[in-house]
Amino acid sequence: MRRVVVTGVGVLLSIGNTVEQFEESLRAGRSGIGPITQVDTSRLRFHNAAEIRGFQPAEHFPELTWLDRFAQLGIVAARDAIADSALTWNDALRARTGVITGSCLGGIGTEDAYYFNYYHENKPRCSPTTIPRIMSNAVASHVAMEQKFTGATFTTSTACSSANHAIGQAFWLIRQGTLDCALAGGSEAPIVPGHLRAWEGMRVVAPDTCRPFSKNRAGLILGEGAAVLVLETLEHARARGSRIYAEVAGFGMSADAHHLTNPLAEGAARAMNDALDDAKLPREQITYVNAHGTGTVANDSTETRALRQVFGSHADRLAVSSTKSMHGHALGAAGALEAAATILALHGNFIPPTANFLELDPVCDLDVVPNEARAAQIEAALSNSFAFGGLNAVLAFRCVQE
Amino acid sequence: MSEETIAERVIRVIAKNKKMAPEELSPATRFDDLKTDSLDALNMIFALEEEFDIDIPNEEAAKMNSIEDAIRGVEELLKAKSSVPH
Repeated sequence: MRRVVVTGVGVLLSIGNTVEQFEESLRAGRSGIGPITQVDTSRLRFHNAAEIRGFQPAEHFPELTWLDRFAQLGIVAARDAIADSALTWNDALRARTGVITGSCLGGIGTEDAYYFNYYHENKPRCSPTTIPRIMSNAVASHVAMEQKFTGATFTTSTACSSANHAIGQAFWLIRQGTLDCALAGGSEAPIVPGHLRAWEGMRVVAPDTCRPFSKNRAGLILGEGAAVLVLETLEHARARGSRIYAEVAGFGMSADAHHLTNPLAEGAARAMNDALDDAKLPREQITYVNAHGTGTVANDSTETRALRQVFGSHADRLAVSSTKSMHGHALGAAGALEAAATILALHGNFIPPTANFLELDPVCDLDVVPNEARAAQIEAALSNSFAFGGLNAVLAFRCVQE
Repeated sequence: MSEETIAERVIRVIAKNKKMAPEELSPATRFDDLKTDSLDALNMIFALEEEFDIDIPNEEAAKMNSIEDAIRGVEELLKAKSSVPH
């Protein structure tokens, strides 16, 4: 069976506009959460999010002016991932390369602004580029057009699991021989007035910061960002002498079929078990789990129970951290940001911490790597994503000797 | 400074849309010669609607094959608009 590896990473998020900055922030346990600057929050009950700093769209898109922010972020991350992979392209490889991206919201900022103009300002007209700006597949389509990639290309939208579903599909398509190479990841730009208000209605956003697994956790913090991975076969990567970040070893997914917003431990456990079985990884080989760890009361205790169901006594030897404590919850991009964090940890021999941790919660009694990163050789790791609607997607990564 | 004519405004809007200098365009310029694809054309129609605060119906837009056509179409729509009693 063909083995699939990650040879390029591109990121754009609150704690790094480059892969190097991102890794440095993860090692330092630096949180990118702060006061929202993009929109007025005076009518909202919460005021913090994890926003990208110093991103100038015009520097990256001098010609193409009609892109939603989520597309800008995804395209820039894809360009960076391609450069990072140092792949040499030819027509044959382009024909067998696909772009598979996740997004929950698509161009919701464009939509919000248009609705405001139409309903509130009574503006009579709408730009003809509104529809192509809004479409959730904008990143996949623009990257394919820009790079002339003509293989299987599509977008997955499964709320907070979108990017894990995207990366998982890309991995399987390469493993089964449909594609030879893929750009896989996700992007999201949720800092939009109407959308923030909708989150407020769910009463799951923390007023201050995100404290996953901590006793006094008060909810999630929204984040924006993008991450894209370059996936190719191990054989191809070795033949060209490429740096290999990690192997994508397995993928598992499941549906809770239970409740729209309450997670079910058994559903999450099934996705983890499927990912481990797909990877043929014994439970004991897992060193690190990048948890879904949203910082909500329900997720973190349920995820703890799910991890105990899957790993039994080995759960007490796992390092489990939530990097959402640093980069926030980027919804449809979350899985991509966290896959990138997991891969950097595997490749860089460290375990990113759970930042903002205050006090142990007895219902989250795992080693959650509180506040400080750790040096560690990771043999294999999981990255969890569990979505509203009960849709779970788990990626397994393994260390590869270059 | 003399006021910009309708023709000049049409040319300015189309030039901006095509990222060209207005001097490169004349009423005789045909949209086919500007390598205008369907999305470009929609953007230009939208930009003309915004510039003149008019609605260009699909059947009018379909008749606009050159800048001269666009100028004539805009003039007619402006005339129709000003004759509507308020």
